Amino acid sequence: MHEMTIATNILDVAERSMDGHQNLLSISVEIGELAGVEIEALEFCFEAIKGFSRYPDLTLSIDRVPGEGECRECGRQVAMSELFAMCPDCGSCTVQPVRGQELRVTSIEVE
Amino acid sequence: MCDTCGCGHDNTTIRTPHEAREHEQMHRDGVPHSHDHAHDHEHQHAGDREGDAHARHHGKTIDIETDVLRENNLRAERNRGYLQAKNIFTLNLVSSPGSGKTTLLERTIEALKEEVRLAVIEGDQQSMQDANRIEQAGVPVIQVNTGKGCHLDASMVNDAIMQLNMPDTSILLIENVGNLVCPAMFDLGENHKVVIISVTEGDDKPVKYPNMFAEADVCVINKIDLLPYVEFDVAQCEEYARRVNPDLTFFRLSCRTGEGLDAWLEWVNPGEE
Repeated sequence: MHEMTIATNILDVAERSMDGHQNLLSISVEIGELAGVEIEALEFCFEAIKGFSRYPDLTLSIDRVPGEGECRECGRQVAMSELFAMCPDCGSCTVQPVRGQELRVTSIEVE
Repeated sequence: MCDTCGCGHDNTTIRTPHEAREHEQMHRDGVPHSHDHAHDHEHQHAGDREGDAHARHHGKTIDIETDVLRENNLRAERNRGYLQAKNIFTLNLVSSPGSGKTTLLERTIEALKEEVRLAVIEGDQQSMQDANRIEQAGVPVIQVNTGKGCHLDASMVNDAIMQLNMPDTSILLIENVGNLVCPAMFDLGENHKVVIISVTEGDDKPVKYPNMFAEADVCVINKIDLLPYVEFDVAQCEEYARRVNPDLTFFRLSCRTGEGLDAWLEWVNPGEE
């Protein structure tokens, strides 16, 4: 499953940014509702790879960003929990996501 | 992965059908050899450093604000730059297993190989089956076996492109691992993602797998010769797909009968006026 690749990448990005510090305490990530990542699977995979890293007590903090879309027909902003939404105003099905596709490491805590 | 010695089990292998046959021959001949495969995707650990005598009690926060897939995206852009500079039109074909990707490639190669130079990168978990078929079709091919991996990524494609060493002004066709979920997230450096769905799969695929349809530019509906025998509403399928991606271009075709193939071929390799 690709959450394993993503968990590995999160750790990679964090380790490359440690700026000379020795110990990685926690990683904060931002994952949008529409990013195509299953949060529980990611947490499971992260626990698995943590055991092979130099930081067995490392914590992962996930900030979930809700999905938002904009209707291409009338411009109305709507909440989107999946990539498929109908505009409540004009009924069109051309709502495109404008928020909620994030998949980022935002910060790390080191010592 | 080598079926005989299991080498490459956890690693990706990237090779031509000829190299695979040579490897198998080495086993048959009992020739000792090392298993040094091109691509190891183990992630790297930070180097060991001198201990810090004064342990800190409070952690320091470092802001990163970096996309998780940054490394893949950077490599994909490198691929893209190389391919654009050499005028190589590149397609990333994605679908569930069994939709007819390899057959579509065979038909495309058969029709176009006299007009334009083509090459193929095949992605599967294991085996050289698809690469062998493409080799029979008569164009250069590299098989990437991902082992346990469920998608091709930009660094695998980078390695394969370097091995192919294609001439300028050609067409590169990448057949991704059969999977309608994961490949959507991994840019390979292609010009277009082409999602292929066959009429035996159910016309509601686009709403069940929206990420893939959102990422693609083109949707091929294959096996239309079977429409009389299945409950597949083509117009409904296209309508579902347009809801997640209003800009999709559709091709309806049958690799078996050839119906609709001309429009696809014309798009892949536009004829000159």
